[in-house]
Amino acid sequence: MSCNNCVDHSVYVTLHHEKLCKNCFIKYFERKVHKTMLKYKMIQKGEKIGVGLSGGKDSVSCLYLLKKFTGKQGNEIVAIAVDEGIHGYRDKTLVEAKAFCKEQKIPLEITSYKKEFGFTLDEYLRKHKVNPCGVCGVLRRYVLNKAARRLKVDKLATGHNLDDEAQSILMNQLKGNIGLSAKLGPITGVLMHDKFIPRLKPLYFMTEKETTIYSKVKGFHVSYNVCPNFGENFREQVGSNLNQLEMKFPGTKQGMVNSFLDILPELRKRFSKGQIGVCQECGEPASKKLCRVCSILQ
Amino acid sequence: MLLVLVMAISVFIERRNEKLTLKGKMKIQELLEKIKANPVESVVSLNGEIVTEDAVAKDGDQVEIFSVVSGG
Repeated sequence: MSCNNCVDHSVYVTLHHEKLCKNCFIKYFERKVHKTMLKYKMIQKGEKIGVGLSGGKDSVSCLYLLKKFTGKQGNEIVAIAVDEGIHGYRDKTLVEAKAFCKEQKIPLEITSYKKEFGFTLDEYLRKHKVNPCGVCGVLRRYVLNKAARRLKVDKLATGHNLDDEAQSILMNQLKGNIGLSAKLGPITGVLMHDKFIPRLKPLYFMTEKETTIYSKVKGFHVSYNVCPNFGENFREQVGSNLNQLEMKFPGTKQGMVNSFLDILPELRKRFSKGQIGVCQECGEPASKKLCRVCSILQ
Repeated sequence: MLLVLVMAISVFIERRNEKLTLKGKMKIQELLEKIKANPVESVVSLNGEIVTEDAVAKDGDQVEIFSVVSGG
């Protein structure tokens, strides 16, 4: 029950059975995130970094740590929040996001589906019977990329964690979309394009449980609310099954992501042929005549 | 008048917005098994402090169980 390094009670046990108290866990978490950032050379001196902020534990922890680790090397950090227009959910998480940015003195840019597309997600879903998470994910990435470009950021960081990555790898595998996995990794993207802002995932090796504990022991006022559109979708099922395996065989998700990283260079070579063009409708990056957003909106 | 004070472990499951009471003394690991919660997906607070699954809850303790799954 006591920490391996001191006498305080433990809040977390690592995969290597090391028990850590609150302060030792914070050091462990921050060291691991910093190591990931350095290993993948995520941020260069002088770069302006945008951070996608939802007000939840992952994005808030990511924003806090980026500010902490890049403060001395003079990187400019800006938070970017997307208001999808989900009544009773996003309006609440945005309150947390605004308060956090104010407290941390980080500029916050809020953009929305309403501004970008002329409708909220709620309005769209009332008219269309679609998988909400599938549509929302595509629209959000589009809006974030445009906002990041407008703000002239060099890179865009998100709070994606080890669980998110393991789920995406398995989902692509199960659906036969292996080409999509080539876009994953700590720094995303296969093909480069001037209009596409590279994405970083500083929390890549941190589990969802670790990020939850981190945000709680740091006392971040974050939202733990669940999106009302979140249901028993494919990602949720895959995540739940992975966590069942993780319970019986600890280290499953870590092992899966490590194995994936071993083959990622080969995957990228194989799927880096072709070019990213621009959408005929909106001029945003697209691999086909129309980008995914314009295809959905048609 | 006889006042009977019933002591129990008071449990709040945040994601299910559910409150329940359990009698006796048990490890958090057993408690999670009882309520069918996966420890990989749960962070547990015992009397306001985050604890690991080997911590012991007893009558009079307040346990809160938070889901780590974002869902949004």
